[in-house]
Amino acid sequence: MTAEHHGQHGHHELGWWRKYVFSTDHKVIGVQYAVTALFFLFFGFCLMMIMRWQLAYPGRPLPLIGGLFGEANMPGGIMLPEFYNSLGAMHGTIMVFLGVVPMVVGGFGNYVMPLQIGAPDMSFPKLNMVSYWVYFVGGVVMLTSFFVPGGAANSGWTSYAPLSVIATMGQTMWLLGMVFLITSSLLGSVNFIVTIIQLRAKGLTMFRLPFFVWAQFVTAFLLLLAFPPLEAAAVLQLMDRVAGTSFFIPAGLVVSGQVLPTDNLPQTGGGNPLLWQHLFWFLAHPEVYVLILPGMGIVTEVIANNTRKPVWGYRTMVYALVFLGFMSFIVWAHHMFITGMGTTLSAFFATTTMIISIPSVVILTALLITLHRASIRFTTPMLFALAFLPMFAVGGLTGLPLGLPAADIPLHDTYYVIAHFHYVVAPGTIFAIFAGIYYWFPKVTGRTFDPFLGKIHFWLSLVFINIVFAPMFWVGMAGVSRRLYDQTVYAHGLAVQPAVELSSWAAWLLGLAQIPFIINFFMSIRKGRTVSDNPWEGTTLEWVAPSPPPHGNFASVPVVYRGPYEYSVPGSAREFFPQNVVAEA
Amino acid sequence: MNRFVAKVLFTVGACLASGAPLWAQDTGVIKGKIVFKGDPAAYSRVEIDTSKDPNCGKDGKKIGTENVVLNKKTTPVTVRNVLVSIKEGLGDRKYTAPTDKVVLDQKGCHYEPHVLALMEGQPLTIRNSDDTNHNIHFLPKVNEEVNVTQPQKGMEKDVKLVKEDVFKVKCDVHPWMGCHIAVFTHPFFFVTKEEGTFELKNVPPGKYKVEAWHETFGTLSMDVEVATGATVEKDLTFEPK
Amino acid sequence: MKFAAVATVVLAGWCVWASPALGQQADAPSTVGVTITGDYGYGFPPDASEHGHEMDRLIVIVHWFMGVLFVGWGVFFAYCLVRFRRRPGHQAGYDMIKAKPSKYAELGVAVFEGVLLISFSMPAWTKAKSPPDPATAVNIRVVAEQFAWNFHYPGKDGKFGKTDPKHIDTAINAVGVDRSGEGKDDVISGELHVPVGEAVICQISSKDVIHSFGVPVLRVKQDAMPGMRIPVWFKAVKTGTYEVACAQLCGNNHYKMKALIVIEPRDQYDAWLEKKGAPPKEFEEE
Repeated sequence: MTAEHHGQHGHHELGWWRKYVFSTDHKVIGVQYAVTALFFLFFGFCLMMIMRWQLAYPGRPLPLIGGLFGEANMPGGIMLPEFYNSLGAMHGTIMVFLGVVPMVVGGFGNYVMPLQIGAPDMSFPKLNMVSYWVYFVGGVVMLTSFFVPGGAANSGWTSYAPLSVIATMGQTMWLLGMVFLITSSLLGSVNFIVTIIQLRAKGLTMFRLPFFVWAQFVTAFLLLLAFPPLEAAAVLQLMDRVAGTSFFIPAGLVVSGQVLPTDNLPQTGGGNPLLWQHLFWFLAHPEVYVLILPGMGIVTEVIANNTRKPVWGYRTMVYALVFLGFMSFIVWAHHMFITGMGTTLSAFFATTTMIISIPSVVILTALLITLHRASIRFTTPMLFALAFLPMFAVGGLTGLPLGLPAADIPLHDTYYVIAHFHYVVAPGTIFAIFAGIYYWFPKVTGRTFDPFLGKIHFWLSLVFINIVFAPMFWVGMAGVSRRLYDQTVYAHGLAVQPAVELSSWAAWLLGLAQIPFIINFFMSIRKGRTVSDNPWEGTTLEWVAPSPPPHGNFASVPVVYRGPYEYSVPGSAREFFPQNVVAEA
Repeated sequence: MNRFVAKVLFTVGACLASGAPLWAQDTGVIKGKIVFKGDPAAYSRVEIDTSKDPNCGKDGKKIGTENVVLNKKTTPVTVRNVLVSIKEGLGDRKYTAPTDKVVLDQKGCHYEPHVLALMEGQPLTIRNSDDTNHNIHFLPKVNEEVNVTQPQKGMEKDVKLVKEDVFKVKCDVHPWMGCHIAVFTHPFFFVTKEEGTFELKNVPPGKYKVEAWHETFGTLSMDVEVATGATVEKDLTFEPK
Repeated sequence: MKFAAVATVVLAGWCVWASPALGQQADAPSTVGVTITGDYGYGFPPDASEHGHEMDRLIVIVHWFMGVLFVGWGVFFAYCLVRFRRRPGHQAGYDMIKAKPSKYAELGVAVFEGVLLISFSMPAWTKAKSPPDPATAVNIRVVAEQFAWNFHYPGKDGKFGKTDPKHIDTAINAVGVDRSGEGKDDVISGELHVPVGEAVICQISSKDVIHSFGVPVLRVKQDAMPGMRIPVWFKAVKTGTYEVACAQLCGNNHYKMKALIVIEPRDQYDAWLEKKGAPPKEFEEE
């Protein structure tokens, strides 16, 4: 992009709607994604806080606010199982598809990645805008589903057929919402890939890219290649529900004493529920890597910056990342070991699952070794990034017993699984998200968060989130299944009820622990201490741009002369070298 | 002349004062029995095993199959749980639903009553009187499907059925539980009990087709004519092959 | 700002302090009159099966392995956080250290995972997936539906009768056995009884949605897929009354889709089967 083109671009003055609402500027879109996603993360968290009352005190009326949910959901303040199942399904769906992915890819990816590659915007700015608004519509559809007769979808975020095909109207809306959300991701992923390949600044070779950009690059491929089967599957399930097809319904079913087909399902037979599972998990496994990889990218940036040294084994990390992305496509059926799989198929998927643990271990170890001979600054983003490491370790390690088929038999679909994946996403990715917010907030606003509130937020969150999820490993080993409205129905459930109650209290306290963050957020936007363009003394290109960057990002197009983490270079006068600084004479 | 007029006026006045509709004195009654012809032994009931949910048989009471319940103690043997109603002959008359609540109770993992008849718009309450969870599932033909759980004893759900319909109800937790609900636009219906008799009161004079419906035996109908203020007694007989 | 922080900490502290007062449990709905055998707590449930210990052992070994890795990482992590914190006179090291131990550790991890998979998981899994000859085992069909378990025994002739939805009577014939022909002596029960010490093969299927036949004390779990009949086998070695739990979300009453499994000596099992197979008693009204 030359300076002349830049000048031409600056000529038309945009109205308020085109500047702030229907903007094509990646930074505005990134903020839109981030704010919307934060709202959904908060909403999804609230759903879970309500659920935890029923788990801790089964069948007891929810005090104070129980009456707000209506007679259909909570008569007399007592939660009904159908509402519990809706809360569970929507908590998962909202957190994954409306919260985390839009935040890490749509929010951080959109805002930071073009800056880090020295580009003025994405390759397809209009497509970028469309992908946000399609996400927004999908979100509205999902939220509206709570208010239709029968309530929101209640067949789990996994929507297994035939349950999801005979479910109430909310499920149809869920499927429609998913079509919008998947479309949004597909449009976005194309944009990311092309931008990273085409719009890197001069001198910015692939192996000089910040690891965050590599993470976004691989993530975009995962989204592009893995989502289409789920979009197709969602359409197939939608057709089974409303158009009289039978992709997932076998013949001879008897539902509620009625032999199918009935008026509700006029054509059934010839379908297979396993087909849905394969199509779903073919996306959903790469999806979990979509959830973690950008987080690893954020953490790497924060760690490099706050250790004042290059990341150890950068190239190894990149190779591990690419290998991880590739492997993620061939492990999906480890979610299906219990479906009746034989020895050959399970051996294949168990082997690929064992293999995929290696690159994760490599990346984690590289980040740990980076701390060796570092000069660690314990800033607020660094606290979250550091905590990510052991938390991700717990989450990743606890995947091992689940990936071994024989060990999976007693642990499948128990609280052990819930603890495993929450450790990776909650104290894992969400801590990475906080690290990113605290780290890049000065770039977006020119102000900084209050560090004292930030540290309170960190410590309280770390303590409570561990108290929520750690007991769940033992609850799962004791045999308690997931998605139970009342686990005390079983002797093994009743025996561990104190741990369930403890998790609930920790969850509510975790909710309270976010108040310092919310206060800090709104306060710092208005009254935070103003800082320079590069308050963290970072080396990557986003810190070269002004805070906040204007439309077009850079006053003059940067040229890159060195790698992304040139901190503490021996024998130099400067403590750190931004990428666009020419080598010293 | 004056006396006659006075008598008429007095009668009218008395009726109006008493609140009785002028035509009430003219209405008749259709009554009878639903008789069973055949070998009662072929339709004996069997005990239902409720051990799937030990909370069901808590009070020690046993329950039996209900697809055919014969009143063996009556002579002749009559059929219980037959829904008798006026099918044709009411013309364009409109009736308003009573406001008294009808209750469908779940007791001992058993629906009471086994056939419940009510009018369109009449309030219906479904009650869980058991120490276990029930899942009431209406399988209506034209009304809105109802599929709700009642996890605790004492829970009640109010339902309004607004369309004419006869449909099955089952519990999704206890497969043996089942009953029927019939929704009418008029109040002329009766479900036979232990006596096997039915009585349709306050029927306006006219010609009617009366139908008797049983969930296993099917439908029988008969034509009756109700004269002013008269009681018509006519039986129907189910004679299954 | 500071006030907000202090207020939050105070509020959180109050909640922690107040929580025991609110910690009264509702009375859990229990199974009337039935005591479930065994002690349950925060570890594995009692093991009543012949092969369960192989799975337990694998889980324990994996966790030791995980523990070694986590402690190893953790110690290194804590050491670095203290030793390499930023302080005056302390400079970060730019050059990449060799970290040879890490490479060997990586290899070791990969090899050990291979050992876990090949030497521990695969044999246990293969055994679980290889039922004995049906002629030598007790054969039971487990038919799941929303929201109950049905256990279908072949009866004295050892042959299962034909099943068809048209024969279903929700009160007394939930699986739709054709009672004329070989199905005459079939037994349908809401409780699962099995003889101790003998191989049992369960054919798992479903009438409507996906359920899952889970018996924690036998370390058995198998999805009940509608349209399929999937075998799972076990040999119970401890008598008692235990629980079958549905392990796949199947709708509103998934949480209560429980059945009892009674593991008893052969003679008691035969007596129960005989009693259950008797024609249903005539129901007399009071």
